[in-house]
Amino acid sequence: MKTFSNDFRNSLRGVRELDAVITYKSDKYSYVLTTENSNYLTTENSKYLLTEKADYQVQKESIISIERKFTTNLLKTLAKAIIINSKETIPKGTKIKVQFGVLVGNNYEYVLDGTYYTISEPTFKADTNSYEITAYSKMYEAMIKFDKLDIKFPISIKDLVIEICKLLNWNCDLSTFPNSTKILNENIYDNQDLTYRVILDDISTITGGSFMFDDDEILIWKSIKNTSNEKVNDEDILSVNADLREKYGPVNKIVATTNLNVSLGSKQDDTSIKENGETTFNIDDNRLLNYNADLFIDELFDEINGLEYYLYDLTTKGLLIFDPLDGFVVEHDEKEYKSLILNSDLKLSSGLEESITGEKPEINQEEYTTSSSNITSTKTKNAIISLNKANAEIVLKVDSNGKISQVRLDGNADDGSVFEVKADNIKLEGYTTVGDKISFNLDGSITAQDLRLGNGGKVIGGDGMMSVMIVNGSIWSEQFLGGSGFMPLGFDAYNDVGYANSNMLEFVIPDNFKPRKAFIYIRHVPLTSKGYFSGGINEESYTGYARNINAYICTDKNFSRVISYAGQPSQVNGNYAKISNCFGANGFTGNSYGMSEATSIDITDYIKNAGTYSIQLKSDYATPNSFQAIYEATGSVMAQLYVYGYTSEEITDEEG
Amino acid sequence: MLVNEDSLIINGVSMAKYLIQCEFQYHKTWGDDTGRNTLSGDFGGTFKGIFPEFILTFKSLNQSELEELAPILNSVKQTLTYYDPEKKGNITLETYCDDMTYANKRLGKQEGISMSFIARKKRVL
Repeated sequence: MKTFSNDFRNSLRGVRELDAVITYKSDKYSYVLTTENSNYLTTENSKYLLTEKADYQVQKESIISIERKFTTNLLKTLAKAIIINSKETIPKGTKIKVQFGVLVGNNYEYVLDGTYYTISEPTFKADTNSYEITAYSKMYEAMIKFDKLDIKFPISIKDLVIEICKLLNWNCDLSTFPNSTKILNENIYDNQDLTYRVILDDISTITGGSFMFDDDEILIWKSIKNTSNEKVNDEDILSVNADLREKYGPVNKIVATTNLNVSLGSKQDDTSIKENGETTFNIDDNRLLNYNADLFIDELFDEINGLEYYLYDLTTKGLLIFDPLDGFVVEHDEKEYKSLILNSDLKLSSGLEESITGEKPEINQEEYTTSSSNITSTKTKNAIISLNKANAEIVLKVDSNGKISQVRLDGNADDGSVFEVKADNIKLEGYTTVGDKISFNLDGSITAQDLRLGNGGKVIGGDGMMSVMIVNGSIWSEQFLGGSGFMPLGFDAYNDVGYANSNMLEFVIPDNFKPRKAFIYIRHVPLTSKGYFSGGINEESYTGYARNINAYICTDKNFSRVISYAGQPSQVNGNYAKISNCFGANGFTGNSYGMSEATSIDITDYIKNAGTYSIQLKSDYATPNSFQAIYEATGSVMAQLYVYGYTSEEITDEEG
Repeated sequence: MLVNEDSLIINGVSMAKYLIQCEFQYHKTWGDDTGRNTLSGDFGGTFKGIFPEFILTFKSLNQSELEELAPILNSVKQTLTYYDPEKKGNITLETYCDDMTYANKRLGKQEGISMSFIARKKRVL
């Protein structure tokens, strides 16, 4: 609050004579602009002029109007602005002092409103032949952007303010304030396109007060809880726009958040809440609290706990004596309303008016009231993120109409850290890996080292369970019928003429099975045939191998079998068509030594429909016509057909 | 007040000898914040100052007299010096005036001239 005499305010209230004086210096002169044409101002009485004794230029009646404003955001830095309408120009970059005065007795008494800096060239107003000059208090010098702070960390909060003052070439007078001794271990401000004022705002917030300049242009810290008995009464208030409202507070809870819904920490006074109802002061997106809310919240809460003031909107005849955050009392209807000066708009032209307002803090705050029956419920938030640093736990929770989605990160679990996700639907998008063993690919496939199912577990695709049908070949020859495993394949001898025998692969593709791949696997070993084939007395022995084995498939259901008990070749009859290139252009030919093998082409297309199938493997080798040729063209073959496909569990009755 | 023939001089011309009456009005001027406060009932406001007005009633003027006064009465602004009883001395003001009007009832005699001279700026004692 300004310093003034006992008669100052009384002189201002009734019939008053006013003046304003603006002083500034150039290289050569000191200038004095006034609203009054008073001879006393030409004296060198520094009490009125507040200039250094120097050559001065007095421009009487040069000030046409002055409008001075300040708007206070609680727990931020404070600044003031002024707009001067003058017949004289004041160049950019000029430091000006502004005083307002009232005639007290025979002399004017002045109060210094502040020191301001013009930041732009004046605007000429042709209609009034005057200049409009805009100026701001020294805090505007902090509106300088920086990339990197030229400050060493770790550093205490107070020292951080002092270092910023050095960077800006400011004087400061900082005694102890809340959280002033707390240490900031790392630089949290670099490379964010910030101004120095942002840092000072951040620090103001965690101190529970505000940084501002006093009348001597020294940076000071000012508490938010200022009381004073200086009164504003009906003599000060104009009859219009007098609005006295309810009391805000007392503040008894603070909540620090980021993004308005991520809770970083809170503290409350339960006794005050019980007595007064809850008034929460919310601080959102403060970088220091984002960094470590626990470090600052205790002293911050201690500072602002109990803050209360009446809300008001008053237009006065001009007060001139108050600075931002000054306490005062509105006296009206024999009641007193304690409050704070938060916003002021002062206009001096043909008369003087000063509008002052006090509103609730702009940042989110919620009020809870007690009723006689119960405490009203808290507001329902749709999304909450809570940090529980003590338990190393973060919970992200969304609640909508009783549907809850929740992710919990718990670093404190005894059996290892936990990442828990609960939701009705969980969607993962993009290429997803689990460790380095499992990947969920963008084409919908899953790559995994192992997939272990529990008892009764199934792997079911669109067409059913992945399954394989194995058909063992069975021999159909004169000597053997139905044998499987390694059986002779090549020729039977009738007299000394060879007749090709067969290895049959016969199977059913049921309705609920969808073939996807089918291969015939042949394994072959040489066969030694011994006997008295020629009727001689010496046993003959011939080692042979199968040659030019091809696969034939019955194209319709007209196949039949003939077994002759009269020593004639057994017959596989039916419309069998060769599976082209099944084992290559010339079919499969085994080796005369060791095991040889072959895998057919994929014959799925031949057996893709449900039905009964018969595949005949037989030699297309030229008909041998001697026992030796017969048995040397016969090997031992095991044939298996593997049909890979999907089996549906829905089995239809054939008769249905 | 007119205490002698030189108590009222406009643009260097003493007016007293031409006047049958001079009315002095000391207008108090107030700022737009003036009025009676409906909360307290008190009257208050910013007093801007006293702006004197001089209402001159001329005698019948002959031709030469009117010819001497006409440039003053038709001018846009004037320098007026008068004796102020509060100051107990002379005060000089810049004034403006209304339109010169007169009537001829007889040849060579101009009658009915009455003019107001109003201070542009407030009186400074």
